[in-house]
Amino acid sequence: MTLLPELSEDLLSSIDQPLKVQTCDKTGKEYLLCDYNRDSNSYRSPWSNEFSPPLADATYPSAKLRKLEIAANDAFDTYRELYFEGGVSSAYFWDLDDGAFAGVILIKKIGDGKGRSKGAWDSIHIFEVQEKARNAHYQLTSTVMLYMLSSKNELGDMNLSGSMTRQAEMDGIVDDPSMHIANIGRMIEDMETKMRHLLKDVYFGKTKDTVNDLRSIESLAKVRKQQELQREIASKLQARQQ
Amino acid sequence: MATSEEKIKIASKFLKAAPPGEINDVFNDVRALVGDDELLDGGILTALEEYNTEELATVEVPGIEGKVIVSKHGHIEGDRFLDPKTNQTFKLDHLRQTASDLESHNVDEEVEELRKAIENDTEAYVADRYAEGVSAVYGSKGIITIAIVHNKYSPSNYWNGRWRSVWTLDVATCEVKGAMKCKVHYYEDGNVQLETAKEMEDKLNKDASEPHKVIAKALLDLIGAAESKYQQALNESYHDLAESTFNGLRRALPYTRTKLDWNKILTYRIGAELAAK
Repeated sequence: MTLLPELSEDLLSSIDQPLKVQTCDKTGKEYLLCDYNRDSNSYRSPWSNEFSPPLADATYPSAKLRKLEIAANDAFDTYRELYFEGGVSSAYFWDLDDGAFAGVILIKKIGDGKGRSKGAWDSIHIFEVQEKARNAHYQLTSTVMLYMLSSKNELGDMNLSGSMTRQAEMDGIVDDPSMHIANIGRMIEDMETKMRHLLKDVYFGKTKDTVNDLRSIESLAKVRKQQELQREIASKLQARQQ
Repeated sequence: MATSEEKIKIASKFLKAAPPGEINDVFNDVRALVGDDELLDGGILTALEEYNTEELATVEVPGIEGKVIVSKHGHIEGDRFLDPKTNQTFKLDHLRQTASDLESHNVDEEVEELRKAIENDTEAYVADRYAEGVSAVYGSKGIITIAIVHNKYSPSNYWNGRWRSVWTLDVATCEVKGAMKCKVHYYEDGNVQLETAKEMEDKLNKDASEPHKVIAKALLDLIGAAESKYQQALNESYHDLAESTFNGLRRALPYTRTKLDWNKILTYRIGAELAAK
């Protein structure tokens, strides 16, 4: 940011940084901070719709969209409780041109830190909605940041962290505004479940395989001998079958 | 706007954090951001030198067979480094990772024979555990230092990895110190990094007066066992993180074992709220 100040707005929104938590002055409930609820140096609480620190001339969602935003915060509170059993979630919506709108659903869960391992999960789901009569088109970009740290005597320090981004598109029927929440909800639920599988595969599968590729726990000479033996047996079996 | 000094500081930080096999990519990105090649080339040499020696860069040296490790243990002076196996020094271009200008070097006679015995066993050990590993064994001032590095780069599959080990033997006391580090970068539609580090101390079950061959074997046996034990601990930690820590963050399904009924959630409270216009 110091290198090219004109880039800082873009950088702030694209660089993966852990989501920060703040407590709502009015309701005492926790909410998450991101570029989409920020105006100058203030952040808007999804629970009170007020900026902290207070801000004159701040931008708010339209009254109609705010209703939907309240509904999304309630619905994703339930979603978060069922899947994460704790953590914090926040939904922020904003109006686009021609009646379209966009929003972001944020979820943060920090592991209970039992034992000598720590973990944290941050979800950032950004979506855009285009309405056409009774139908709506949804575009979703989801990023999950996952941090895992472990520290033990025989292990030393282990840090397995990073992020993954995926996109999806979907059409849905919208008989009344609340159906937007159900459509977005299902889309995010499916995406998060899919990404959970991917993360598990990459974090605990691919990087682990690479470690064991870098150093062989077995003697390579032994491994090669075994492979040779297997090949020999296979070719002998084949010869017998002919 | 940042001052030149700040720019170099930031560029250096990025370079030193470059994942295995990606120093050139990071350098090109940093070059584009700084936008002043002269300033960059002059300012980041220290960072590159630190990166190359810390990460045990391996270079081709014209006149020497196989790859040669660059490390602070083989640092002679300026940009000159030692290849202990052939006992020659070379000039290194830290930016291009190219070597030139071979010169012969005076060995430390006091530990040279033991160094050679350990080099022999280290090469056999590395060949047996690290498919394309490179090693160097230095001997100086009563200390033998073993550096092992194995890089595996697979950019077409979006991953790169590096294992490094550095072991020292105090020849007089037979005390052993070791540091093992692993880095993996996986970047297909994402960016996941593994970084591990483990240090340990031990002592050879031998006396300094025993034959060099005996000392060398005991040392490599200790290293092999310690590295395998460490690798085992890493694999166990992967299992623990996946089965307990990860599962404790987000469930695969809610405890009800069914996906959410979004219509129901909405009908209860929110639907009513939204309908009341």
